[in-house]
Amino acid sequence: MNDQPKLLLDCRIVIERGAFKLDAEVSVKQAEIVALVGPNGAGKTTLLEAILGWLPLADGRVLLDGRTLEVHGENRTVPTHEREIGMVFQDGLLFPHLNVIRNIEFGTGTSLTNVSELLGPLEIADLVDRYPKELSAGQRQRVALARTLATAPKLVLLDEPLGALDVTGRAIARKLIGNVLRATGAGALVVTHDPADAFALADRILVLEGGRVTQCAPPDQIRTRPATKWVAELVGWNFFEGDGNGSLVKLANGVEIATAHSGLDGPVAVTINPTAVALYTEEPSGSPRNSWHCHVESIEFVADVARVSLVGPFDISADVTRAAVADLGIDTGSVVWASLKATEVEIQLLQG
Amino acid sequence: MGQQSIPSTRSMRILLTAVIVVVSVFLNGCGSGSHSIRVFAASSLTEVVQRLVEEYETRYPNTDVELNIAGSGTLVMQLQEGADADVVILASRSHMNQLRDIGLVLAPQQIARNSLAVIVSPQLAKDIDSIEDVRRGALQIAICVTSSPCGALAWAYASSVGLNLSSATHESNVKAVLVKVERDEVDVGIVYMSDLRSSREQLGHLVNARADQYSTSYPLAVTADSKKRREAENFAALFAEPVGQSTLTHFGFQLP
Amino acid sequence: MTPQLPRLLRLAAFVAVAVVVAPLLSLLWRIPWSELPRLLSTEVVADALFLSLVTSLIAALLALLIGIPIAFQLSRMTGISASTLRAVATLPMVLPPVVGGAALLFAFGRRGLIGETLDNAAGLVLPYTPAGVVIANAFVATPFVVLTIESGLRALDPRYELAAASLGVTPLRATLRVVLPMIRSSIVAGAFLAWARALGEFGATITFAGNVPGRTQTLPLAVFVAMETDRDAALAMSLVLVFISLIVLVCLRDRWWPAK
Repeated sequence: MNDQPKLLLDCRIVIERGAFKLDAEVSVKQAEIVALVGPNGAGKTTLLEAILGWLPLADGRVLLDGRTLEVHGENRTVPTHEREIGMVFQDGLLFPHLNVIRNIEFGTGTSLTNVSELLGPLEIADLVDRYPKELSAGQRQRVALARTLATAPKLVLLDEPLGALDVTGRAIARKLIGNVLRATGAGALVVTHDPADAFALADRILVLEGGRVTQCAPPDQIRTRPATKWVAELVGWNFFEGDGNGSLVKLANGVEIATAHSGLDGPVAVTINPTAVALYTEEPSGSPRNSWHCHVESIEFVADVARVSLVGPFDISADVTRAAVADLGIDTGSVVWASLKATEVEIQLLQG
Repeated sequence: MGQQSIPSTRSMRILLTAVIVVVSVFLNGCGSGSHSIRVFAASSLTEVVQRLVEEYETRYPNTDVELNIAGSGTLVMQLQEGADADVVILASRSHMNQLRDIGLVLAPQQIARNSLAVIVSPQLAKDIDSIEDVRRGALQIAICVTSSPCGALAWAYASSVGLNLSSATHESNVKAVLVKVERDEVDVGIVYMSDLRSSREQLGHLVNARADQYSTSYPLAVTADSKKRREAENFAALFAEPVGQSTLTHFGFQLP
Repeated sequence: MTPQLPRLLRLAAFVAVAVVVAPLLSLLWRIPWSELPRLLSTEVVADALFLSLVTSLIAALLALLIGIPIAFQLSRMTGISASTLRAVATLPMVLPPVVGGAALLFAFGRRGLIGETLDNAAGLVLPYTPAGVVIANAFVATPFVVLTIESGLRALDPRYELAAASLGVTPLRATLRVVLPMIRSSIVAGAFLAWARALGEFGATITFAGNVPGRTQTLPLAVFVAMETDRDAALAMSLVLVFISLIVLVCLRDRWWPAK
């Protein structure tokens, strides 16, 4: 317990905007990178702006490194420019009338000195005299990060930092950003809609849906035990909610799934890794107790993996090899049997 | 695409014709009625002319008088640019000569004289007694523009008494000078005796300033191309009659 | 490909252009070109030109000083309060200039609401002085600054200020180092429009500042006076004014209402 890095950001943000209400508790530890994911409109950018102090809280508090920045109901709110929280914006938002080095030095008040250390790792040293409109999207993002880090903030917020980049650009940028962020030792909260970014960068992933936090866990746990349908879809798993009874789970549409658990009672969430779903062209015999007659809605190939979307008694996805698809001779519209071992069914108890 | 929203061609034509008709009626003017005359008069004669217009319209009920009152210079310019008038009364011979020389008027006659007066605003009336006081104090003076009879006279007068007019403001007509002095927006003004008489404010008047030695005469003429020669001459005749003479003296003018 | 204007509209546009251009062409046609050097070298013209240039430039600067804060305030407001403030700030532009001059007189004249106090306390009198000319000109020119700069500010992404704040820069310094440079073209456009307006101002000047040759007789006033006596001189000075106006327009080019 003594080695626990100390708590850097401790906040509860409540914002009301018309019919939308954001109510989330977020914490970031020193030197920790937390990824904030969620569907569009979940309130991610609003959350960042509230932590920055740009939006007044309807309720809640913001504490940074033990210092109270804002508490709803009290007057002594610390303004944005005094919070020591930096933000890297979606499109960089570099000041167009200043060149790269002047952008980077903007918040420092002095010139150069500690700024030069940032240029190398971010690979922007040769861009210092250029103007933002002469840079590519990836270069702009790295300059924006340098600009924010130059002010040595305690917490760095990043809003879709890789949003404007293409796939290869992202992979490179991900690495650079990750390295640089860790090197500074500041805490970071990264908003991203791309799960690859989240899994690559983050120590912890926070899921925001409809203004509420639905899961907050390290990447492995998110990956293997998604708590909601959206998270499950994010990591590509099948997700169903149903009623547990003994070792069976009955879904709303009547389908029963046999599990290897016992004593189930009440609402449960069932998650199934697509790789655990096997496909047969004839009804299988043998040990799996879960098999369903479906037909193929679509097949997507990613490298050597074929993601087969099936519709039937319920909608389920199966991951098989490209070769398997060829062997089975299946295509859109084909009729198959999908089967699943009871031991492969993950169960999470749901409250209420 | 746009066809439904534009009114049809026929109704556009009707509208256009209506507009043209209305505009040309408007431009051709009210007042070129069969029995009305246009009188251009210098602004210093305002009250006199207004009184005599009343008299005229009482005597000749069938005829209207349309008055245009402005500084003599402005009136000359308007006539040079082709304005229509039947009777012209200006505040200086030289202005009238400009019109006579280009044949716009016939045989001007002098109908009045007016001499200069130096007036002081109500605020300072008690403190300023002589032109010497004006010379000494850093007072704000107002005069007419140099191109007007009053203004020309004012400059002549000022140089004769050594009065510095370099910071004086030039107003476009003498009534404007009077109003500024009455309202205390300037301290001193050089106007006509008639203006002093017409004022209802407690203005100061520098009687010993010798301004009354400078005076102008008022020529009146009927325009050469007037179509209402008889009516115009009827109006002109009023000035020589007792009613005209008494009106002139009542408002502070001198008889020619 | 831009579609052709309907015939009627094209005809109307042609007539409209002719109506606007005809007076200018007539002016140019009547100018005594050979006499120009002589006419323009008189003391009256020199005084008026110098006074016009100096007072209009100072008035434009004053309009910027007054207009920029109003524009900033307006850009943060919405709804009725914004419309009200905007109407008040734009009033001098819509008001007949003579009425504007009269209003200034009632406020700052020797017997005006504020003017009387200024006179009694500091002996400061504004009418009939070049300062009065500057005030009258700045009064009518300020709305142009307010409108151009407000529209420039509203077109600016508000997140730039957030970015500056997130970098630890105070709001004041952010305004100076980020916002103002980024609305540079609006400021320039506003300044030029204000200058052009101040240069051409007549009604408010003659009503408030009077007509004192050498002190408050700007070029437009001199033209007015000269129209009665020396028509040629009036034309010559008119030409100078047209020329300066053209320069201002060329400098503005298409920066009228910045819609980046």
